Amino acid sequence: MERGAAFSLETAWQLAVAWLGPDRRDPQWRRRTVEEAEALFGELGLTGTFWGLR
Amino acid sequence: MTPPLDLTIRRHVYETVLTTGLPPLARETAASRTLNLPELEVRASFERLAAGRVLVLQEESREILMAPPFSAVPTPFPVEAAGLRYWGNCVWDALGILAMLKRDGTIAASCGCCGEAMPLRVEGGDLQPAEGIVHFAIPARRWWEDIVFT
Repeated sequence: MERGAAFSLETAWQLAVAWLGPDRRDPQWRRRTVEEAEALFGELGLTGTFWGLR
Repeated sequence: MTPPLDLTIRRHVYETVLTTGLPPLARETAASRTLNLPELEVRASFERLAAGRVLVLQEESREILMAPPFSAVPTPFPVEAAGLRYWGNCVWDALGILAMLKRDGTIAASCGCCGEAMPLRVEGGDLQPAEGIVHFAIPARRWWEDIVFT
């Protein structure tokens, strides 16, 4: 299998908190836009072609 | 814009999985006291939510397979928290379950290549130190090509 992306458990936790933490019962919740998602990845140091969404 | 019914159904699905550990069936959702809807309307809402990548449905039954980060079926990523067991679709989802619950809990994870146990614990809002790394095999832009495989 082609090598993907490897990162720390701490980064995975930060990604989980940011991406999956918000309450989806809230009618205001919505999926992130591509731009928002890429910005989040960048904030966590998840960069490079693997993390591109376009 | 998401139709009001779909917001209601989404809320019900997540309220159910958060408080019981599993998402509801369509007929359970339809028959719930707070909703009392025809099952066909609930199923149509499930389909719209799936088209919007909010839910993932089982291919044959069209019942909920995933209400991310929760799985409707057992997976290798069980999460124990608040006296309940939840199933994460992957290690990221398992962490996401504890993040969404905002509770302490444990994940009985295991290494994807060798099966070695890799228990994880969240306490006081922090992931406790543990050995190991996370590996994502599928590039982000391809996650939804086959979300079940991803």
